[in-house]
Amino acid sequence: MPLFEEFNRAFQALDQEHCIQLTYDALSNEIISVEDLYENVLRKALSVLTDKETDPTHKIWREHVQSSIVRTIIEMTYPFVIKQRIEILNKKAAVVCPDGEQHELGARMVSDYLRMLGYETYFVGRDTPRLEFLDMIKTLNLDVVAISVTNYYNLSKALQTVVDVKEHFPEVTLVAGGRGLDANAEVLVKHDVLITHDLNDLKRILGGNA
Amino acid sequence: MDNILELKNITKFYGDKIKTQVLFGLDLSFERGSFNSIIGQSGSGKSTLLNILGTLDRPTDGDIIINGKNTKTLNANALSQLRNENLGFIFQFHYLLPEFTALENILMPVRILGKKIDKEVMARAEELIELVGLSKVKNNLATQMSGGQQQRTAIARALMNQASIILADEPTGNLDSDTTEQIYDLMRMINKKYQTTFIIITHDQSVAEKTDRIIEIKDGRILMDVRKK
Repeated sequence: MPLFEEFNRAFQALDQEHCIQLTYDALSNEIISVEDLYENVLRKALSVLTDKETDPTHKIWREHVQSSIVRTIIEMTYPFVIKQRIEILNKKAAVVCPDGEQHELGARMVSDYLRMLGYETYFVGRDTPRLEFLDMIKTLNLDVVAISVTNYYNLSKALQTVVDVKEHFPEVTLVAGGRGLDANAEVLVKHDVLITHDLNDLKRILGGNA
Repeated sequence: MDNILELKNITKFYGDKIKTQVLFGLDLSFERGSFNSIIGQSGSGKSTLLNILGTLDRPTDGDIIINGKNTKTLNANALSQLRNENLGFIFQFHYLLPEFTALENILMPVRILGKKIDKEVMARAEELIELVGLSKVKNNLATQMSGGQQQRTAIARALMNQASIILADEPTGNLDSDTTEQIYDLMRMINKKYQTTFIIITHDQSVAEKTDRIIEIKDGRILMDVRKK
């Protein structure tokens, strides 16, 4: 059975052990790369999760258990991320979710992509207050800040954050991604934020030859 | 989908001698059957905007087009008729009349229009009572109902004249989180069942994030206008 189908069957059954064993074996035996795992297995499995608006039978507790399975797999992947690193750049990046944004799995995957591209990467994650961004950029002396927005309500906070960062650190490259931007990318594009959808976009925008 | 409500270059000043501008050339349109929220800090101009959308206040300049009709040239009576036929209002404080029952409050917009409470009107009121889940307390005085029941009554009242647009100003502002969820579910159900357009001013993230479009107002201007999909 193809990996995704087998994974998704275990994922729907909330069988954490099988999900982890499958993905660990696939990475160890070099059947898939980290990029394949993230794009064609984990993101694909997460993308079919419903919400209460579109599916009245949606159960939040199930979504949380499934998120937890994905999180465990991502954390397990770290040695493979380092192994699959393309090069080492003398650059620093942080991956952050704006104030109020509680969803951070996408951001966590992006932080691994940046590591593979050679950035010294800090995963800051969810619900980061707007003014903390400025302190973080100064303290860590960042070249790149990647902002992840899943809930479109949080675009407002993301926008305010972008305006602040552009004012105080115009030299920092800002990239953004996430489901919240699907229909609304122009809100941040207007402020010179680069929009990314996957690792290929990140490679094109931030890779060593960019 | 066609636009049921449009604002073109709306400006609003308050005061005669010292003029304060609160809205700065807003252009907005709302599609028929859409479910929208307006957010913004206190003093951002969002309540002024809602009052103008609801024709409760006139803009200093600009056009409001409701169901294809420009309100600029309408006199007070014609404007009132347009409002009664098209718009329903829900407020944070329900403004139910305390000496009347839930059913009588729901029938109030019909009485204000001077229409007779005939069988057809009563059937509509009963249908709305059923819809908002108040059948058991329909003969209770407004004061003998919980906050959630009072807001449900206000929602049914707003629908009594078959309004195609509901303007809601902080409809869950006075409610606990469980009741907020119920009122949101009710508004969404009405939106889907009758294709009623909703424009909801709210501070409540749990409500705004579930609407299909969020418009953020800041200092009288549109800061952000985003859609879920």
